[in-house]
Amino acid sequence: MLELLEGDKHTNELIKNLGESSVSLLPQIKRLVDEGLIVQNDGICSLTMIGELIIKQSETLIRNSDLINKNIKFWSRYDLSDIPDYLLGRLYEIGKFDIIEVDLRSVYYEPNPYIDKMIKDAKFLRTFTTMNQPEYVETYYNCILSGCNTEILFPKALYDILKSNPENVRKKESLPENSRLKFIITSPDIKIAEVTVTDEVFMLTPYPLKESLDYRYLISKEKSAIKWGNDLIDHIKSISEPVPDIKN
Amino acid sequence: MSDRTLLDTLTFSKRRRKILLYLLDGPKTIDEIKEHLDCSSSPAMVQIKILLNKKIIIETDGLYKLSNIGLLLVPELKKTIMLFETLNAPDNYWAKVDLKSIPPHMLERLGEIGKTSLYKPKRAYIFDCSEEMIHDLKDCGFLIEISSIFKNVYIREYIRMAEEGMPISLIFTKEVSDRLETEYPQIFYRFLRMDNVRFFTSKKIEFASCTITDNFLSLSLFTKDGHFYNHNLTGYSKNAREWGKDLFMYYRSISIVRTP
Repeated sequence: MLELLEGDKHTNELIKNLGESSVSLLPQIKRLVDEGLIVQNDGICSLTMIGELIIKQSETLIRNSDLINKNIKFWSRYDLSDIPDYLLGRLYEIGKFDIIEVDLRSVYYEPNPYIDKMIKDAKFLRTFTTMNQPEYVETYYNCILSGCNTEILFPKALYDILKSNPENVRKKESLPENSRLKFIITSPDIKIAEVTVTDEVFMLTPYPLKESLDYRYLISKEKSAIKWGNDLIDHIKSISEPVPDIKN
Repeated sequence: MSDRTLLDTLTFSKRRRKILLYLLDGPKTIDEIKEHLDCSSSPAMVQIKILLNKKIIIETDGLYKLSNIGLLLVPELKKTIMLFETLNAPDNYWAKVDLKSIPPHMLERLGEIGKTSLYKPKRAYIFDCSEEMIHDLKDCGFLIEISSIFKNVYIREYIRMAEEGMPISLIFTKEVSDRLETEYPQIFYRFLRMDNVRFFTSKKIEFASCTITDNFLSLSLFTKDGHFYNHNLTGYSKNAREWGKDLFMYYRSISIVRTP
């Protein structure tokens, strides 16, 4: 039924898309026809109005359950309460994802090689972070130097830490005038450790629900995940107040 | 048990669904859950363990509550269950009627109507209101009617209720309004002159009729092939009445006020 929500499909196409045999799929199709949820004409299946109503209503439940089912342990561990409802309803857009656990001994000293690789060739880069991550300053600096359109969102406290290091100030001043770097100050209360989106990848680090030392990235390279991440950053931007005293 | 998916866990067992919807109200003790399910400890615990195992619910200090996964999925589960409850109407009602006659944004919310009863008048009264409908009309505080069909109830019960001071809003198609004006001018102008009655005409009402009061929502739709039989599909829940009010707001926004 989810397949048919995209449009009418021939039985053979359904068999192919679902990776089923005709022996296993045809009885299911017959059942849906008998229940008045789909109709079949010359092998083309389409949803009835009731079928469409039901599948549209249950799409979020089905797709979000499938996404969470891929890693129940991960999703049960983290605080999602600051992700707005309309984005949680579309959580399934994250699609296929991997979890990268960062070695806590490296934090503050050296970037995680995998994460670093994900970021360094970005053409555009948007990061919202509530964690101080000095080990990535160099990576971001090089990105900006190579022309990457960069947007960094963080609470004022993090901006102040960044600014307090003379080396960072020097780096900022050494950037060519046409560099595309933008700082945005966000509310200090958003309970998301980090969201990063580039043209290639989406990364999310939520905070654990229970206090624990734990630093994991969810990484997805799906287009829909990148769109979802951009929407999350747009949301954070929309609830942030631009601070005029920051000169970009 | 371990290869059961999250979706199966959420949907397959009636008891589990009941526990999950109950926990939407807030954390509960095992005794409260047992009482709600009307069963003993052991069958309740079996389902609770399955839900704990899938991390849909969590337990702290003897209280069971939805986990963050549960909070994400159970409200959606509830909406889906409510839609099935609506669609489970008597006589396979929704499969037979013309769903296109309901504005799309209201059709999307059909699940809010929930449980309904189907009333039909007795043969000798086939062109009148069903007994149940007349009974339901007796103790309501306001009345809204959206209609593309002429019903005798307008010139009998509704005019009497209006004269007794009940706030009434009528949205009729031009054809129904014209018939009332031509054939029952006295009643028509009495409606228009009363302060407690608001009279609108709408260019397009595609279903037969809909009545909304503070007690119920009642729908009459044409069948898929355009036929009509006299009936009321009536729901009494607060959600059903709210749905009806929003349907009214929509029709009111596309209707013209009729003044004397």
